Amino acid sequence: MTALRLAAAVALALVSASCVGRGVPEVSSARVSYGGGETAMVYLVAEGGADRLVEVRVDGIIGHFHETVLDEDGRMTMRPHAGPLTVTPSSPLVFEPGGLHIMLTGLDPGLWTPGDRVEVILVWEEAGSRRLLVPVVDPASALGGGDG
Amino acid sequence: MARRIPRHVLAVALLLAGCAAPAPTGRLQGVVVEDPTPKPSFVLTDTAGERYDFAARTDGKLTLLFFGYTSCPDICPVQLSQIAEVLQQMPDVAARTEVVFVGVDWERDTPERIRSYLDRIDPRFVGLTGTPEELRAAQEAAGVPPAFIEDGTVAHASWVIAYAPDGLNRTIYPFGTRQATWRNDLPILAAMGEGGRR
Repeated sequence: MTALRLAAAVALALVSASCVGRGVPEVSSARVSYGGGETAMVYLVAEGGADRLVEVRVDGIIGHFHETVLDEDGRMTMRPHAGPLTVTPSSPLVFEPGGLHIMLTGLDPGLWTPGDRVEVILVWEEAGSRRLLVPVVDPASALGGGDG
Repeated sequence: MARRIPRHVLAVALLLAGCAAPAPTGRLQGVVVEDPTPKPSFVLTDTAGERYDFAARTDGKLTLLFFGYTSCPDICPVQLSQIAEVLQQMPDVAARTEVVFVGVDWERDTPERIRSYLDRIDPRFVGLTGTPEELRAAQEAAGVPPAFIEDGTVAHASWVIAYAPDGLNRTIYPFGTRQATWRNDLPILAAMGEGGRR
């Protein structure tokens, strides 16, 4: 019985250690893709920690978590993302064109121009709010990697 | 009706498009259509409210055809903006190229809205719209699965279809295509049918 309790305690500790509160994920490749209209997209990679992303705000605007998916006939469509947005040491959280993304709506046309830097606030379940200054890019450069 | 692109071809193309930009090779880097199909015939309405005969108005030009919608935040602006940026870098090719965007969201894509949308990307781009029936017929003629609207969200084909000046669909460009691929392919495509096919 003691051995069982010990095993359960170790298992619980391992699960806890691997899933929650193991440092703030590092964010890279963050950019706001904006073509001058009423919507913009936030793309980024969060990795190297363990936490759950709760909310993203850009200049006070709350982003919507969406994903673009391919249907069986080759159409692409967008739908709200369901489920937690979790980073673990072994699985980064990737927001990218054509996949999971953060959408901003209701923007004033011409709000930003490429080259601007805007404040993005990531709200993590454990780590709380983290602020970033993120460049605005033209959608032609949204794919990243230095070549569109 | 033109052939549809098989899903497994698209899946591989999407994977390849997501890889690093290929180096220039002198050969087409888009998804080459092994059995090129002729440019489809359809008539829609342009952003001036005039009827636009696609095959006639684009005859003899490199033509890039894309079916999207103006409130599309993810796929459409990336595809169209990349083409616009590359064409700005090669004005000689741009002068021989017609980029045609068909707004498939018949509930919201008015001619005025499409014009405003395209003007933010490249004022030279042609914008078309039509009735649901006309739009469906145009998509079927071009060999893409017709778009549909569900809960205000539009599902649409995400690839660009390229017709060389000889009127044949030589390549397609799935979402994720890099500017390097466009820079490589557009001059090759623009020369097809002008100085002999490659």
